Amino acid sequence: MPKIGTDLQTILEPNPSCPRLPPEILYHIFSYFDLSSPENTDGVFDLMAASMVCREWCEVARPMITDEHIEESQFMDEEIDDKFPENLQRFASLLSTSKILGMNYCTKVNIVIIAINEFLGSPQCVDDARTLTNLPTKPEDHDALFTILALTTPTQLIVQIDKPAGYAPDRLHAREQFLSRLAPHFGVHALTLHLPRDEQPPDPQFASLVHVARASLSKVTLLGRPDPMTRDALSLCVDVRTASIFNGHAPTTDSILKGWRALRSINLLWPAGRVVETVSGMGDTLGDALEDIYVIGSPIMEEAEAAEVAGVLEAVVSRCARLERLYAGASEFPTMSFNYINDGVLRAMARNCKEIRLLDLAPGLGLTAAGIWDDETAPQWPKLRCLNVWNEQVVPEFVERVVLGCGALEEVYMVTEVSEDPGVMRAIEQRGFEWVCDRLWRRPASDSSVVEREEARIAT
Amino acid sequence: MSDPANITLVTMDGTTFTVPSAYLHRSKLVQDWLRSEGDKQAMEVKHVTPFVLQGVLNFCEIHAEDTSEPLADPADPTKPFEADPRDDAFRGMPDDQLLQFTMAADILQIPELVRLTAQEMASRIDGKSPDQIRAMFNPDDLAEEDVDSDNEMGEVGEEGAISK
Repeated sequence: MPKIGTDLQTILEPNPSCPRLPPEILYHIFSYFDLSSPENTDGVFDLMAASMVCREWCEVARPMITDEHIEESQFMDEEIDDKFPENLQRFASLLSTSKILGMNYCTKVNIVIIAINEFLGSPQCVDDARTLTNLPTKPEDHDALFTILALTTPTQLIVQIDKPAGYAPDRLHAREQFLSRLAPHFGVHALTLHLPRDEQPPDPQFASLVHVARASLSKVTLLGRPDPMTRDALSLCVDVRTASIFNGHAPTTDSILKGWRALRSINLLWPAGRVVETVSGMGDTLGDALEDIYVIGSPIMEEAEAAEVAGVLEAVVSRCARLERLYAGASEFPTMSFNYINDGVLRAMARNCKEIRLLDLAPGLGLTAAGIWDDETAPQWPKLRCLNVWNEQVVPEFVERVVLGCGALEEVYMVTEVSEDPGVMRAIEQRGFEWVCDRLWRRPASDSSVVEREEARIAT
Repeated sequence: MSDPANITLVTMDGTTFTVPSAYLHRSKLVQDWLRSEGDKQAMEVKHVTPFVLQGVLNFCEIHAEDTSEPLADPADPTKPFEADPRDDAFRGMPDDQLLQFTMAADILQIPELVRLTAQEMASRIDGKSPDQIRAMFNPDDLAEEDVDSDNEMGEVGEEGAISK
């Protein structure tokens, strides 16, 4: 094993008695390691190991590994399986060796998943055997995790939080120790928390971790319901720009959002519940800096709930002059379900949102766009680049006006009912759009999908 | 002038092997030599030990009557590697010998053997640490192992000729 402090130059000196394989043969050997998929972690690890054998091997193997191979290696961001501890230890060992050798390997990894319960082991598990609830429990597993965290910069931590209430004192102590080791590595930009869905008592240990991230956190994904202390710690992360909240607890979500005044992008997904309970307070709590709003509720939206959500959205849209994208609804039953974006919301967008780039008119009752664009209330959407009309009830006149009136428009998708309108098709031809496929038209100057570019921009 | 039906190969220490030329029709090095210098008595195969050359010739003998098109390139992606049970002995050899066979296959330019040994080396590296890989293909042990292995695989006659 190379000793610390010895550099690559001396460690990897060619051995004069070494029967050297020529580079093309080494390349042929190493090409058997499959790097074609991020899921195939073994190939990346094998090639990393080969690159640390000797200088000749390094010169061939190292260029075969790109930063993306390591960054996108997926073993740490998927569900934990029985190979997880082995991969964890191998990756930590390779990173340590490469550090000793002074090899310039990428130190960024996309995601590190930390399932607290599995690192602590199941309370019911009494032997050393690794089971699905007792996988990375050994001291060497913990050491490997913290080695990786020390030697890399994860772009995102995913933490699966356990329920410490009812733990025996020794397990509670082990948890405290584990979390305190984790604390120095918690200054991340992106954090995903898998929380219990039911109410939990205050968890000061985990809340203190969130406090560590307060200065750096800009992107948060919450699944489940934070305990009161973690909730308060989250609401103090005032630099959060992007938030996604799935099936949360409405008052808790509302309380957290009150602290995130700098929020630029919010995704609220309530597929199993009434989204109105969460968005009801949004009209007051959300800041004015929002650029992107994405709201999905249950597949069937009743008129009363949809109207209430639309009222909130109308208030938010009226305030958020920087809004670039609003997506709400996506009903699976457009003929019997109402849309969160109704004519009132669309009218508010027409009046206030000059930054709109992507306009999605989802299926659902209550949205016709009639009268939104007349001679007196013509929207000012100079940056609108993509119009998606999924809603059959939208009047063709609106689409025709948007196509003719928005100079930056590059891409239009329309349902059949709209695309068969002669006025719409005249406008499409007049502006020089060309049919691409299905019911999609694009102006020839746009070389790639606006939607793809918008998605990439929003992700960035 | 040597017998055109046979070819004599001389290893690094002067041991000679006389085998039918047809055995080596997949060796580009031998085929080139036969075309340009076939009138000479023997072809020198420097850097290859008798034991390793013996093994290579065994491989060639096993595959002498194969009708498949000779591989132009061992890495040809259009012809994926398929394990051949006749090569099990080669896949079972110790690590240091495997390394030497890989080198010999490259020297003699036998793409089929290069592919076999390269694939086997890759599968042995699979899952190993750098230290383990170094231990497996430790170059310092090769010379001694060679001597011992010569006796184990035997069958090399006085002049190293393969009896058919």
